[in-house]
Amino acid sequence: MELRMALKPSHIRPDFWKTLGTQRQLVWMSVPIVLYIILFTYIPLAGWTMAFQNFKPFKAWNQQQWVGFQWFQTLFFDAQFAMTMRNTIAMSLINLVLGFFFAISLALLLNEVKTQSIKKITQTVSYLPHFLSWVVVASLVSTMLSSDGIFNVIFMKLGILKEPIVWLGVPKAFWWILGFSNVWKEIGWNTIIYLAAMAAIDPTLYEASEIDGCNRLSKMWHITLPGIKSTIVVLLIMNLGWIMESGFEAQYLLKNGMNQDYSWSIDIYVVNYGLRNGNYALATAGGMFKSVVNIFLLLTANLISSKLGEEKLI
Amino acid sequence: MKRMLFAALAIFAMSASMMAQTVDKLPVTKLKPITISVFTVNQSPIPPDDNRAYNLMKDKLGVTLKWDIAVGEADQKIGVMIAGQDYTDILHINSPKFIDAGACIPLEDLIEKYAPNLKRHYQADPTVWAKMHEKDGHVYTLLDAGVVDYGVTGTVYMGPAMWIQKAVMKEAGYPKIKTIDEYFDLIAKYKAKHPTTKDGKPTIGFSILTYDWHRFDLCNPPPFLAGNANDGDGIVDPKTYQYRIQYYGPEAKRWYKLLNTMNSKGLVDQESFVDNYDQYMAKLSNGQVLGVHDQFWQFQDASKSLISQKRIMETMMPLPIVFDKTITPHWRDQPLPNLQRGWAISVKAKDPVRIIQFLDEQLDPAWQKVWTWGLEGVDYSFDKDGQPVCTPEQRTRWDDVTWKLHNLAEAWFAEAPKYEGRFSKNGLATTLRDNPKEYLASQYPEDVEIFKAYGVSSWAELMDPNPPTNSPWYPAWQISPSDGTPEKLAFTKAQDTYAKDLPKVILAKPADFEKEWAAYVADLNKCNLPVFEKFIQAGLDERMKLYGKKK
Repeated sequence: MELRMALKPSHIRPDFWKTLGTQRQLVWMSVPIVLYIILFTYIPLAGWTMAFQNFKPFKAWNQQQWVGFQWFQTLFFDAQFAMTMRNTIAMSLINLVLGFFFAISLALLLNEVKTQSIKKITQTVSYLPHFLSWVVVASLVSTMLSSDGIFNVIFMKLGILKEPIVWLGVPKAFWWILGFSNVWKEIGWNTIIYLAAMAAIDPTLYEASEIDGCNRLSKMWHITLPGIKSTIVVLLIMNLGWIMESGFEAQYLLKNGMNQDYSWSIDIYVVNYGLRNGNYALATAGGMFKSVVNIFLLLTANLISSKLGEEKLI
Repeated sequence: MKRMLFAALAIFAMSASMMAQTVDKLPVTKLKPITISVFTVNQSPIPPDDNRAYNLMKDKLGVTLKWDIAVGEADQKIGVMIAGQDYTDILHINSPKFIDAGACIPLEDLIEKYAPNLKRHYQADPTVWAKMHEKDGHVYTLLDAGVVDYGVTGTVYMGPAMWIQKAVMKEAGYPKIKTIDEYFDLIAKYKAKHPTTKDGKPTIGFSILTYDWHRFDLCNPPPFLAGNANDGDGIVDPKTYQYRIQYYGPEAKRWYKLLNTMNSKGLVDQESFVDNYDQYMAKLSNGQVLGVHDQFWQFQDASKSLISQKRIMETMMPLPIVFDKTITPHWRDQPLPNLQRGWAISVKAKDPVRIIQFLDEQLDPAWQKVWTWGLEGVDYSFDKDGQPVCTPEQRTRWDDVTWKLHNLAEAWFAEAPKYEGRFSKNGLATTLRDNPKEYLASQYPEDVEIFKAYGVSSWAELMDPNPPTNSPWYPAWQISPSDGTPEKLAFTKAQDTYAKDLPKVILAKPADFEKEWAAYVADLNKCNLPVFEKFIQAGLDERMKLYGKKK
């Protein structure tokens, strides 16, 4: 894009200033946002220095003791941190795959519904859970999975189980419990963007395919899906950039002593060993590590996507 | 009609004037008014604006309290406060965190200059005053409990015990049991006969609280069952004064093997390990649980809830259970100064002198009664012997949570410096119900029946009529490691390990017990616990040097 090339002073084209002039109202409108970003996301980066100090809150910045990469060493040689990293990535990937699969499927199905009123009602009902707080959802999940909750009751009546299982106490089940709770919560919200993209597909393509003898399924496969491919790729890149971000609230509320090996994400590790133990430097080191990996993944995904001829985000 | 109206007016005027009389007798401050912000981790609703006690505090003592009550995990909120140096005027100390972060001001000079009541209260016993000093030689916390004035009284038992539902004991004919096997036997028999409660909820044999910082309930029973005093995570040998972690000791193995067997009989609540505190309390409040090991102050709200529903027999009673008949129980202690627990004044307080003067003034016996007894003439009165007595109507209010929220200052009182024991030499007991006339009158007939069956006059007496004097080092659990140290890290890792492995040990099939136990011990060995043991030992040695003779 023009702006990127314009950053090299010797290559500033005279059009740049002209375009800037004609777009000046847009520029003015973006000033508050840019200020917000600088103030709340760039300036606080100075806090990253905490990760290299033996930080004590009541000492001034220049009185802190510098320890270099000690906290990063503590993190990387801690088997528990490695485990939380595994959990974070696994949970993100599961959420990603399940999220994409179910959201796109639901969007495809909703797209086929001809009656507008039913389509609207279904859409509204499906994205309502997005607005619920995880506290409420976790409480629902925990009640449903308890010994006398609906899952155990159904499985026992069907004869699959002889006695109830405390599902939240089964460590390996945690990722899937989280994944499907996430699907339930976010599926409606995620379909909105896919449905919007599907609405933008040229209707004449469908008519043309009918002449060629396509049934509904082939239409979905050959027209609808390729039509929203660019949307899918953009969203995929963005989500890959958030892979280390697998979340905090859901894991925090559903974790307990028994499933801790599978439920702790990096954020929970940072809270427990950093904030709770007053070790702010360790907490910062953990957060910093996460951000750096995220940026790296985002740029890589972006590069791969552009090499494959798809959309780029940056 | 007119006569009734007149009578009603007269009563109202009389009680209002009596209230006015009592209120007029309260000491008024000469100091200027101030608003004090208070941070506490005790869960309680924010006192409503019409609360009588706090309004009197404002009118007569000139102090308006602004509450900041921590929601959710206390340590997190404290961590955030420390990171932002965002302190209220008064801080609730329940761990070394605030003190280590330099959030509190030293109080010994302020007490010396401005607080004669506090000085007398805390310096009456020189060992208490000595123990209140931190490592750097300053006093930061005004202890909230365990500082006894003029002799011990006390009928309620707040401490740890093996608790059992009163209905279970009644059905068995109030047997005198001593061992853990007899305890579980009673529970098993009752559960078999009553698989659901009257509301149709399933009966639970034995439940365990494992949520967050309450998880010490999971690991605490073994030392008690073996007859040791409550040193928490370890056991101190009374002859050699050596400390060892008890998590994987022989007592622990014995206890968990027993729990494992009980679990295979269906007596243990499997959801104990995934429930949070609210869910645990809900089960207790429904009368579903037959037995727990816990400390009363942790589940007293559930008891209060059952009492307000008049379901007295479903509340719990304490028993001093041990492994076998050869062991002498040591559950009940003499009161201990509750070190590092109470109010502290933060560095952000703008007028620490005024605050310490308020803390001093609120310690006056007249005000202490307003915080917890109520107003004379309105909530109690003195009979011709000078003993406080209540009418039956006044007595029912003591269990009414809503009435207390609107009339007493419990949130303040819980952590504030207070009289404990008696208000004066041979004077009244500081808790209204501990005074003999009220005590007898305020007991429920069900409880009186139980007392008669066991030949005691209070729960505290049932646990132990003559608790042994405390050893000089006691209690080890008050020696807290500071954040960021290797011993704190070892301790945190150990807690996470037992929260993860003990459920597996308890829920395993009996044939797998040894395997799971070995895995648990192996995991604990990875936590570097010797570092923690050395730290505690150093603390104990120091206490022995200061307050006792070693060997």
